[in-house]
Amino acid sequence: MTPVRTVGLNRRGFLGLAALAAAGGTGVLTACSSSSGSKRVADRHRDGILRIGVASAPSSLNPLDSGSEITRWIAEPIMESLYGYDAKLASVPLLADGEPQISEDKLAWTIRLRQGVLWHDGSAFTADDVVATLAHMLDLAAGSEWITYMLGYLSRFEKVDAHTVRIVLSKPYGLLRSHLTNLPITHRDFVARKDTMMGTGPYRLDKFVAGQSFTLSRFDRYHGGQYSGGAKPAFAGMEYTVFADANTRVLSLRQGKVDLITAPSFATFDTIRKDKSLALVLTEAPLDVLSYVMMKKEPFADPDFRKAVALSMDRQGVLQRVYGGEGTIGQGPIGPAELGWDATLKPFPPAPDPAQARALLARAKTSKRSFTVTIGTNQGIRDIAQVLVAGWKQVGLDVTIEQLAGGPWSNKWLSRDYDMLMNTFSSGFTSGPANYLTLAPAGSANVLSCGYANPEVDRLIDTIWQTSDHAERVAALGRVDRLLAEDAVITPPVYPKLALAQRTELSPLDPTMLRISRLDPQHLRFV
Amino acid sequence: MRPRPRLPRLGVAGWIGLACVVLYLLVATVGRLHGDPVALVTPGPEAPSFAHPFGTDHLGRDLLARTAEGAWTSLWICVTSIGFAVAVGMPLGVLAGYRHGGRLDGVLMRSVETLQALPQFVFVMFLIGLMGTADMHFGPVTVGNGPRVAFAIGLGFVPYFARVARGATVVEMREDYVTNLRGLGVPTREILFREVLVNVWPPVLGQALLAMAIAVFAEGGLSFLGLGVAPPQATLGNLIADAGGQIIGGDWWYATLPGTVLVLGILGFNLLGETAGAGRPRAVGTGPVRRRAPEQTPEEIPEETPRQIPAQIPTQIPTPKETQ
Repeated sequence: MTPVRTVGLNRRGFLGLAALAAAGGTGVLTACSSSSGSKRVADRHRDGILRIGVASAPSSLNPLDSGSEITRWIAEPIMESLYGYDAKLASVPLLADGEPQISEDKLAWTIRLRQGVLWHDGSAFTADDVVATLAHMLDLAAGSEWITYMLGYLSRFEKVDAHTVRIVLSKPYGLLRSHLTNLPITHRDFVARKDTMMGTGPYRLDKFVAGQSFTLSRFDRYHGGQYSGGAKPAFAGMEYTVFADANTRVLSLRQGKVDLITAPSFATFDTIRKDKSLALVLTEAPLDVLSYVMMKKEPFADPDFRKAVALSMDRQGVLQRVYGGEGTIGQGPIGPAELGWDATLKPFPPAPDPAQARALLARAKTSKRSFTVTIGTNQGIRDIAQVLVAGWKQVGLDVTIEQLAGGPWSNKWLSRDYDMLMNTFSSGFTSGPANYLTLAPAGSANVLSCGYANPEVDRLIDTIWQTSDHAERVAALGRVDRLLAEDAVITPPVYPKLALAQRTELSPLDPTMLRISRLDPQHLRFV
Repeated sequence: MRPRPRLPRLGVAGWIGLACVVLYLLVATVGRLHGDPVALVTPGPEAPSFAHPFGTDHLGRDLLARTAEGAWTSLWICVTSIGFAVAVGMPLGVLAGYRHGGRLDGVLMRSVETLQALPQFVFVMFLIGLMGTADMHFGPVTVGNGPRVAFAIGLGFVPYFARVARGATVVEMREDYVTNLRGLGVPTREILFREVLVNVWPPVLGQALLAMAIAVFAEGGLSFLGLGVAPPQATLGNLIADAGGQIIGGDWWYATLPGTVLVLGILGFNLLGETAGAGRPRAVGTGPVRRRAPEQTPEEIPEETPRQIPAQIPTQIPTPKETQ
């Protein structure tokens, strides 16, 4: 019988070809990636578009719902607040027309609004928009992150006239000014929309591809409040592109496809430093590693167990292995870029202290030697957890890592059904140069309470929220930080630095604005 | 005279496949003896050395130990998932094949085709999306993501095994020996599970080895996407995913070595599966003691060779149905 020759690609042939293609493709890609981007950048800048590479895209475009930098970095040039930050991070009027009039009992704030401000759809900015924004924020069904700041303090708010609003408080609320400086004001018809942003800022959102890119153009009828001396926005537009992979972000920056990138991994720092057309930006910012333990149940109800866990944290390991040494060893909830930071507070050593941890465990009333740490899904927090687990293992603690995406992680926090929670959080967009949200779960009556009950801490947190005296607030913050650290309630392993990278053809990022997590792209320019 | 033991005829591809699988298992075994996959042994990533033959990862953990753990984890998930798929899919297929053309066959096959409507990897991701990646607690028992990944991959494979088993069963049911066994009054259950099943096994086994390769790949893909086993437990997929962030720093070993082990597993099971599927001889029903057909590869069997039928079973016996 004559054998029949098969024509075409069989499985074996396909595997061989695939292997060759993979090897060849890798070589071609490597060769392409090494080309210089300077000429490309010069050509590209002719269109006047600033291009920014970000690590992820927000699932909701509503900045009222989330203070996360993922949303707010895109919202920065689009949305504005009643008050803004000046060059010294002092709160100054932006959409408000002057300082608020505060009643003698400090319970009524009357705010005049700037006139002549237009939304990006051409309609006029009025008191109705501010009222609608505040109402959305306090709507439990809306799920706004801001509600945790306002609940219990805001009594009502009302439109006095077309350009005046009054906010009535149930008790003095010194932090209100900070919140009004960070809360973006949204058009009354857009407060519940999650699919677009309608602001008054110098740039407007033209289009976006979900999860991939966001295109902004200059708003020619901008009121000019963010610019002094007749200055105008420098760019014709901005484009945010999502590059989920840190290597791809850095390569895109090197090739000149983007001018600025967020969150380069520390593995890429050397590559960026070696390239003279790039600048690595590392700065202290309110970037927190949220770290809570549930004290309503075993094993963290036992103070000796808590302290043993805190003592056996490999803080130095996390700092070196995860952040390349760029940051500060963690102690209490307040970091070096936040109000109330105390550099002398050092209850825990940088390296684990197994002997003391074992002694505390031997003394602990709980016999449990295992717990679950619930973390977010980003690479940084995953690495932190793995380094910590290795340290805890040395003292006989069996720790399971549970990874949850943003929503389920937050639900876990709200439901209080956890042993230990960890995640990274940039508080600059909600608290400016401070971090009030981190402290909230230490309050015994807070909706996010971790089960800790300390009357002094409760009183101090009330002071922080209510006082209008800056020095008094800073002192209270420092005291709370110490109490929570020494009682091993909130003990983040590190305070990492905020890392960014930019091309040198772009004016340098403003270090002052970076201290409150802002990229402030509307004030950059090509050089 | 007892025949001399002979090596199985695998062909070149089969031997290469076997070598790949052996290498895969060798790395998985030796690596586990090499050290603790979770311990931080160096300050950061280090290139391969005598102390750390695969180097260390970005957190300073021994990469050989982690690759070994990953290989075992991948293997465990794959064996479990394929075992589950065979255990569920094969009886369904045999039953459908036995009822070929009937209502039960129609219902089973349409159900299976519904499962197949989604691409397999998408279906698995859909299942994991439904179940979530968080640990599940059933009283004192905690089910991590590993068993759920195995279940999801396994369920995705059930249709394939059901269809292969059904096809083979339909062919077998038309064979004379089945007719004859029926004529002798052998119960259907016995015909199906003691005679027919023996001949349905070879194609299913071949499919299982091919599916192993796909399962290794699927598990790697899921872990790469963060839907697999939770850290710090290593899988080949999450090792390669973690390595992605280090490539620009020049840490070539991090992705290359676990990636090579993954390729060995996929290639090895694929080639073995292809060999097993193409070259496995049929067995012919011979009662309780199963006797294999003569050791002939399909190439050696001439066309139109009559199947061997036990001599004691007469041919051309009318089926009980025909006599009624």
